[in-house]
Amino acid sequence: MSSRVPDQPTCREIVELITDYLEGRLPLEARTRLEQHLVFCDWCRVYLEQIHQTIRVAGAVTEESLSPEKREELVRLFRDWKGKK
Amino acid sequence: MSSAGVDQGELELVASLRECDEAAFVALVQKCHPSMVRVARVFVTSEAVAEEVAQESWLAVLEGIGGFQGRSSLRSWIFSIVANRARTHAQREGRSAPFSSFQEQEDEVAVDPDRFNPPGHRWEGHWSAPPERWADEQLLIQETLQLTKKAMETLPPAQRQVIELRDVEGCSAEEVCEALGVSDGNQRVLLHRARSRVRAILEPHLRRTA
Amino acid sequence: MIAFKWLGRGAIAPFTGVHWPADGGWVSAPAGAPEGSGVHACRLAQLAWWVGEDLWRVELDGRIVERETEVEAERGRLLEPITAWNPAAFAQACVARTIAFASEVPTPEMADYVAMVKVVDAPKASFVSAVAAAAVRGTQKAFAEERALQSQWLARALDLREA
Repeated sequence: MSSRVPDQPTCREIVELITDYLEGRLPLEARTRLEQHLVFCDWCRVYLEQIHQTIRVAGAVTEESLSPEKREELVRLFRDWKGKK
Repeated sequence: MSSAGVDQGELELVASLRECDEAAFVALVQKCHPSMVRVARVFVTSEAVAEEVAQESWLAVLEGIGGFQGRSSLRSWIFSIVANRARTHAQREGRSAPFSSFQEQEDEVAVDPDRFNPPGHRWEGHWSAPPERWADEQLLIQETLQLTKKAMETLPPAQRQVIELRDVEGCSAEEVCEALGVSDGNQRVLLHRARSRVRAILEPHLRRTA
Repeated sequence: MIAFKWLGRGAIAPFTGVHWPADGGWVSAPAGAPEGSGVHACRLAQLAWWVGEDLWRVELDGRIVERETEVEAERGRLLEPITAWNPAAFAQACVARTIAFASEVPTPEMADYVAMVKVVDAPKASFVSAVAAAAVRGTQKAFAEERALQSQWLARALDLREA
């Protein structure tokens, strides 16, 4: 319908704007158009939700903590450095 | 996690570190070391080298803490040290992993164009193969986490660096720009491509089965 | 200023996720926040652009900026839910409007819009009817005009006033 309603973004355009939207960097006019699209487009709402989910899962991949051995190694590094200072 | 300003606890930590206080050092190590290895790892080829870079960076942190101005957060200052050292190592390894969006394809799109109606179609540019909702229960299971890790490893280096710092480490946009020496606009383009690619890789695995 | 606001169930803002206090407490933009991050609401003529689950009458206060399809204020608070809001009736009105457009210009394209508008929910029905209007009039302006006319229909059907 882009041919009929040129100032309305298509889904294909929406998916390219998602990051700027989430970063709060979309100009107000573009943000308004994007949100008006999300009002009626379930598919783009699902897409946006999937980007949120992608961010969430990326944030969960690293849970590793420091091993006691590694910690000791770094403390030794610190003491050596302090000794030489 | 992503504090751009300097908070009170951080000021105290910096002051103690300047006095070579071991407890302060250990606290910082606990907080930052695993992340530093991860940041280094996106530049260099092996875990061992990444570890080496992180250790070197600690020495640089100790040497440089006197000059730390607090203009950025302590964490982003540390990450920028790690990124610089890791880059130097990568060049020495002969593996140039320069941070450059010039290696990026100009026309990379977030979603396969075939999933939208073609030109000439009445609903041109609208979904023809729309995404299906993902089940939240599948999201944080081990299999998905592994897949996400692998997906990030397949990204072009610059994209990988940005998504690791932003979404895995939880850095702010400003911190990433500082650590990687990249403009705000480039940072966003790389983040966009990285997230889009990871989403696309996850998609076939997370589609809710009816 | 009295205006209207579409919210999700539980008075949750659809885009920001802000929980609006149902007891009428004020919601404010953070101090010094850039333009665009204030409280968004609709004048009567703008209702159709933002159709959501629940409609509320709201009071806006502080600096108010009026734009083409929304108003933005420094702060706002919920006054009362519009219990007469009936998405099915609105969707039905959009079906009727689309059928009227199709009878003006009986083309296969218009028949498609009619077939489509009959099976979709209220926000999509509003959109399809606006697309049909633009198709019939052949102008982009007709899209926005149709949204305004739908908004008028809503204001009448729900007996809404800005005073």
